[in-house]
Amino acid sequence: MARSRTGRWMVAGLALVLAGCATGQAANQSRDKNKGDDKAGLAQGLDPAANRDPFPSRYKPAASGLVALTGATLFTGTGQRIENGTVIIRDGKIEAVGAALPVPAGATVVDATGRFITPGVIDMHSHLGVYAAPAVQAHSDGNDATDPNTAQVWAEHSVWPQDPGFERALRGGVTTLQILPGSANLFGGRSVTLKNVPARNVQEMKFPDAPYGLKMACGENPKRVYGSKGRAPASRMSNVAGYRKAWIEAADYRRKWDAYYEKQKKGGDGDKGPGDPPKRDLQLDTLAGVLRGDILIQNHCYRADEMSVMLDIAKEFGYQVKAFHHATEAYKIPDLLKAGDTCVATWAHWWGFKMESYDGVPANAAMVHAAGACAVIHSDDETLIQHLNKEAAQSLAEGRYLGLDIKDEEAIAWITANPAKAIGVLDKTGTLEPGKMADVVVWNGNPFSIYTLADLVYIDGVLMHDRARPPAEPRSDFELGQSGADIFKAGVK
Amino acid sequence: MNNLKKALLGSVFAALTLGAVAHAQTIAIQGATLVTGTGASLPGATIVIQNGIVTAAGPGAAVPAGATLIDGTGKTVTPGLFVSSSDIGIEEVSAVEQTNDSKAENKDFSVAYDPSYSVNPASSLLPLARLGGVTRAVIMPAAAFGDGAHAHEADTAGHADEPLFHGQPAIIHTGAAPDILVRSRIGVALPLGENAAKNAGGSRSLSVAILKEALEDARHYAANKAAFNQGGTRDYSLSRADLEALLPVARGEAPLFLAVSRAADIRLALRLAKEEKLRLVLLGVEEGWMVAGEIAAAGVPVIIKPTTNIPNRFEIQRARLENAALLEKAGVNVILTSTADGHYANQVRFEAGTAVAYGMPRDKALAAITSRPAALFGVKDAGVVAVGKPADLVLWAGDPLEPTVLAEKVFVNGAEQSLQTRARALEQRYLKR
Repeated sequence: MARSRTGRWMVAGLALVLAGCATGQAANQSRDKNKGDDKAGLAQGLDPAANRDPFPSRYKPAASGLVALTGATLFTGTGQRIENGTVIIRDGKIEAVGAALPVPAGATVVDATGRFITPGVIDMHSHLGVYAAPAVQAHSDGNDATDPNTAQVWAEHSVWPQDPGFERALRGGVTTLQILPGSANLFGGRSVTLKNVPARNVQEMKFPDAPYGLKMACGENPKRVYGSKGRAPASRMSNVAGYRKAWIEAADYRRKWDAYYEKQKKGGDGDKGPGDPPKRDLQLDTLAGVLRGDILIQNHCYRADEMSVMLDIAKEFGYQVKAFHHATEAYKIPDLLKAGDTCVATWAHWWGFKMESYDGVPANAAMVHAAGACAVIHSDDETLIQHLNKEAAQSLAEGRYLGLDIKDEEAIAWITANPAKAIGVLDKTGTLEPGKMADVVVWNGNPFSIYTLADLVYIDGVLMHDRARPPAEPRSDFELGQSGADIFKAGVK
Repeated sequence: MNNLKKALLGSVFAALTLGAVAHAQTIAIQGATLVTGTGASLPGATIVIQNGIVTAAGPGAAVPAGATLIDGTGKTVTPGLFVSSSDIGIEEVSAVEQTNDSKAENKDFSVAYDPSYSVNPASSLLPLARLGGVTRAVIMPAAAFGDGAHAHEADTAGHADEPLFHGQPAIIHTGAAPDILVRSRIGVALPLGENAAKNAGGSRSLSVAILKEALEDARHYAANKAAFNQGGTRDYSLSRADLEALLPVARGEAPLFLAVSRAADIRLALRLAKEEKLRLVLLGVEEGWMVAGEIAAAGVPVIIKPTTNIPNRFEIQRARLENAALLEKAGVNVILTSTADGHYANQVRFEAGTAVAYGMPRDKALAAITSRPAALFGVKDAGVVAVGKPADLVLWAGDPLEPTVLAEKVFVNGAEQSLQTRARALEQRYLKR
């Protein structure tokens, strides 16, 4: 199993990924248009629908072959616990999951007796790469605190794949991450979902066909950042006015483009063609993408009252809040969250660092879960991301103290299936189910124990971390070739 | 709501006060595993507490008649835990300045800064720490361990006007009492690294020059106090109050808590301590594993946060999760702590657990959050469970280092404490809805 880390990642052809993401009809129309009348033709970069994926994923896993993990306790992520469980991986996908399954001929067998297997851990709130280590000013690329609406920025354009945090997160079982812009702005920009694999550029990490998210922020941050500059928003009410204004503009923008495409489809208005196209606006592209349902709202919001307002804004403009992040007061409104099918990504132990986090409680996730809503434990931190299973354990313990009957195999969903749902990739990963990407962790004990470590981490069936066989070299170029402990050894003159 | 939940909530609501609970005259915990704090782990132990004093602790101890019996089967008794570098007790909401006394920045009162005057025994952070088994905390005015949350949002870098010296640590207990100060002015805290260098004028070498000059000034001042008060001495680099505060350190009577990270800086600190005849305690020490032998040989204790492994500063580029284990193995007196932010004092047992996961022997890790800090800080009534001492201990539902295990009873200074916290009050309010 000891294999070199280099040379395992191939670069996929562009065409492979383009297909899934462009919105078919409009894209075809504008391409057709380009073929003929070049007077009315619109260059690809000027037409928002021509290519909705201009920085396509070039991630392609190496061949995984056929692997059978046997004899383990499985937490499937679907709430099931299977003793003496087998997981069969073939060609990067999970082929079968069950108790004591027959091992197919030719499979590489990993005896996981006494160990636990879960889906790969997913952190849906990470800033790895955009606030890369070392945390010098030159690496501070996560917040563009220059305008309360920076929906036009994309986190992927700040991601430094050499952030040493990625490899450490991998050792903690993290296979998928959503990287978000910071929370200074009402609209912080697009998130990007990554596979936790070595790469030279962000495209080689991008999770194929994952939807984009749009980071929004409530509360103290936007009003503090802009209020201190003597401009709006300087209050929570001004935050809300800012969101609504932006959605009105986005709806207008969307309507204008739709009208243009409609005219184009009808062959134009006599000799005039479809007329003068609207001017493309990257900020409004993203917001309109939300209204179209293509881009998922990832909303930093702490207080119950503010989350309640945000849910009403979503109703007013016809979109969904896919997830509230941090949401330290989610336990006060689980009914509203359940009704909105809105996930809550939170911590167990963080609280009190600012006023809006003062009511944070350890049972937050457990209480949201027990009320039937979608609970997620996230990190927002390069250290905590390595210990998400143990963070989840803290909320589980407090929930049980309160009398909530939550089983380990349910709680594992807080760091696997539920975040997959919240970032729109549950159809591809997040559970141990046939057909899913083989993103799998073999733990040396119950993942909710402090002593437990990830023995084996598979991404798309490829063994990316093997605790018994640590890589000879660090994954990050930044760490490669640095002097080690040797020069401090006694006796060296 | 199911019946179980109702029953549980009922019992919890019965004792909503946040103060100490009146203790029964005699309590006997039977059949528990006793972690004495000094390295022993005794199964099947009986712990008897009479009027707040431990009167028996060990397997086979007799139970006095009339004692309230507590079944300790499957449970563990440990000494109360220490968090050894924190701002608990002097902050409430980190970003709300008015509630946060931990950001002292005054050049005329740097060494002299004594956080003990700011301690608020009614802080909501204290019951939460207590529920996490923490009964003692060292308020350490040196930001060696970051804020622990939202580092990218907070202004955690050194401030331009930050004084080089950070003040004098104090020890508090977490019991419900009007005065929780155990001892103040136990030494002087001083960072020596990237941020300190910036504040010193842009170089570590200037930090060293300032430190040496300050020590020299303190000694000169001590020998010429009368002249000083007549205005008859040369100018000193520190104010009178700062010189006074630095004296016990300059004389080697009180420890200098030096926050250092880089291997080279650790060696420099050891050298300075030798040259200046200082009693040294190191904080941070993220690259300590690289020079562990030298630290051990110097007999210098270290206070570390074992989960630090991100090279967020160049000076902690080689930080790793095995730091605690490797320092321990080299024979260093290792003390484990949590992040500096007092909201997370309750995480200290998980820091210790993580150190165990990465190779530190479990009994050593437990000692590193109990008896070792008690000995280092000279706290005689805590850190061990021993006959004749006031009960300062925790009954855990299982393994105290496990996040799925909670404390069931906490005694501080002989008094059983309420386990109610503001967080639990909130949880219970909204569960009832």
